[in-house]
Amino acid sequence: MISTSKKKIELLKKLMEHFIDDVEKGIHPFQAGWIKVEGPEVNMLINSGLAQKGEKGIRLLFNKELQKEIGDSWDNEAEELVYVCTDIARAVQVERILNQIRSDMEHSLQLEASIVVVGWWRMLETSGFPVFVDEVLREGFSPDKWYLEAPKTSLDLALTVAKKWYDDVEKALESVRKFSIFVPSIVKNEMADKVKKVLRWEKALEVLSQSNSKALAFSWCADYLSISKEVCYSEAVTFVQRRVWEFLTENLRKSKSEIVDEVEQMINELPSPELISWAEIIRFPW
Amino acid sequence: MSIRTPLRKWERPKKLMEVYPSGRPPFYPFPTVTNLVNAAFCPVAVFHELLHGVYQDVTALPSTNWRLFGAGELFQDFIALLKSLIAKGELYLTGIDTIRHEFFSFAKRIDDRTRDLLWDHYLEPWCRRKFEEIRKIKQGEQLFFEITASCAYVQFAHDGGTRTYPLLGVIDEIQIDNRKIIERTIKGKPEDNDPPNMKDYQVWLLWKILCSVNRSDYPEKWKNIDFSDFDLFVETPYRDFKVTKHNPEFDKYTHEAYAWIYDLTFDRRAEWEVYQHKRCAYAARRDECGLVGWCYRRKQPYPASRPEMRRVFKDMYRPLLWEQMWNYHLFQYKLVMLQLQALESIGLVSRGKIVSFSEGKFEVEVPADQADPMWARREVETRYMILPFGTFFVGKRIEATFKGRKGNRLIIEVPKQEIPTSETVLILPVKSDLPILETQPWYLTRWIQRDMFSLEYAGTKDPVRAGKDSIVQMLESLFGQKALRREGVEQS
Repeated sequence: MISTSKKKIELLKKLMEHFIDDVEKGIHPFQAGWIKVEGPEVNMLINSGLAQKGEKGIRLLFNKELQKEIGDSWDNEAEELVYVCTDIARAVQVERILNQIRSDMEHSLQLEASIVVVGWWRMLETSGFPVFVDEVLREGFSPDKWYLEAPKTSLDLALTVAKKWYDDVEKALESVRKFSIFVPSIVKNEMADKVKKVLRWEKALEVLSQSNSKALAFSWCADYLSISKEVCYSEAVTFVQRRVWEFLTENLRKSKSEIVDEVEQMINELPSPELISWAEIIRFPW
Repeated sequence: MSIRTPLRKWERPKKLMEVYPSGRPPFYPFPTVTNLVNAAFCPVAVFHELLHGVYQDVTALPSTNWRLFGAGELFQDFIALLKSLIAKGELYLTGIDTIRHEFFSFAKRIDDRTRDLLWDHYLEPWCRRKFEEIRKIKQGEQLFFEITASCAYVQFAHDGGTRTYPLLGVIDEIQIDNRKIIERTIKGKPEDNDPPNMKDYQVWLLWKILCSVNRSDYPEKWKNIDFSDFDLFVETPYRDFKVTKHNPEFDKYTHEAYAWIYDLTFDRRAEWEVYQHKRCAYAARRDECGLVGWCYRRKQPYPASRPEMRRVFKDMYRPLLWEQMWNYHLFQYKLVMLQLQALESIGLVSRGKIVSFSEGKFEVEVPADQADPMWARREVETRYMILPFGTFFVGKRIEATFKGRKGNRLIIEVPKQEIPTSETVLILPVKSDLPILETQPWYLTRWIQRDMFSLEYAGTKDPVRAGKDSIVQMLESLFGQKALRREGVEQS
């Protein structure tokens, strides 16, 4: 005889599996996971706030704090499903913030400028700056110092990108903080000029286009937000990625492949490709 | 199977003799049959294999029972030994008990429960089914096991013509007299009507390599053999399945698999795409897949900095793959694209005469002028690759160690009791002081990939334990917000 609580857990597992499955198929979490099922456990789940009833049956209330439900009688599989559902809930939070940013950006050039700065800072900082070692030595860096110092100049470099199209960029940075996005403080970096010289940065800036730069920046901001919200399962990460591509294709009125091709074309025009591995520096996060 | 546009051309290395390994390789990988089978089954599987160093394949048993880890290899090794002994006239079968006795002696180092499990579930059903067939093996019958086949230009049909790609694989069994090629597995059930997942495709790929190698590159005594009319079989403990050779689906799988391998090797966006084309989902995971344990591993809540760690590691996996391409894939290209005579003439490959072979030990006579340097080099080279039979295209490749010397004769040990031999043996240092055929211990790079990937899953769900766990705390310092400081030092 299976106990009522065991039956409740089994039903919850079923709801979680359907929910994850639907999200993987591309159904938005707010519409995902409806199943037709009956029995006393249904009401138990609804009464405890873990499920909701509707015309299509019942579904998991995924944004509840499911982890608090985990008890001793839960098996590993159930626990794992809770972790994935919780992760999707975090991804939905990221989506909500991205929606807000997108909507605010329509009326605020300042916010657009700050997104460009944050996105480019993050993209550059995580790149490792792969440059032919002779170029690095020529500017007086040892190879290990280059890999240590160059990423620290990322914010300086990102600011120069944004300044190409926006005014008062330093001040604009404040506008992004309300979305709980961390932005490092602007501190004068002595190495910045040398790094710019190695990268032929002035020439590189001439090649950058605003729409490509915005596309890169927005996708890197989304990636950064995902990471800071601790989204880690591929099912949840893929959901954020899919949403970002939807935003970008709508916003830039281009298909995904057009956006990607244009960025690639831009990268191909950047200076000294035989010395600087641009494709490893300027890239989409996924 | 996902839709992927076939590549126009597979780039092989243009420079084999003078090339400085750095950065993105100017050639494409030299894939293995396992790579292709994984890619054709599910792109996530080959993604894990190439970038995360998970060297398991979708056709393996899922790792739900640790006792069965390596069981497939033991099953194959024992059958190879059994058949070889019968073909040599050193074993006469009176009943299944003779085989059982041989197996228990062969597997004496394995714990009793695993040995019983292997016998009861896999070997005994196989023996009952095959007893008459193996008893009829004639003395001197040509049976070959674990033969490596490699070719830089394997042909596959495409759009009315052919496309060629490099491919490397190991054939479980070739029966020359019966004109059969066998792929053996412990997967499958007695009631199955089809071969286990992708095994038919696997044996077909191996056959394609054999058919693409020039006859002049076959082992001497196979030069008149036409492999194109050999029959292909998948053999489970419970059934044999004959595989259709002319299956257009297999060609389609192959082109798409190579396209995935190329994309994952060079294009960072492919990672996003593999997850769009994965073959299973949480609610409908394919438990028969050998990689299911890797795809659906739990990520514990701590360390909280796990996503940032993933971001950092993600950019390191591909360069680690490139390093393997420089160290290992390029070596594979060299073996089948450089002339053997040329390599011998400049002293990169040595040829010795096999004087005797027994109990896993060869006595090999090498040219007088090579004996001293080869023996001296054993101090720095502990492992060698030898070919006691065949060529780099089709032959028995096996790792060996030098164990002794009698004048011009070297004693070389291999980890197998029975292997096919010819009159001569080719000896390659795994890492020579001459760089042309040098290969580094490339598998260590794969271990780094796999260990990094495992670290992505390390952690705990208990916040108190996480606070005390040194690995979690270290990860939080490296990738998260925790300040790194020396603990246990009293503040003044």
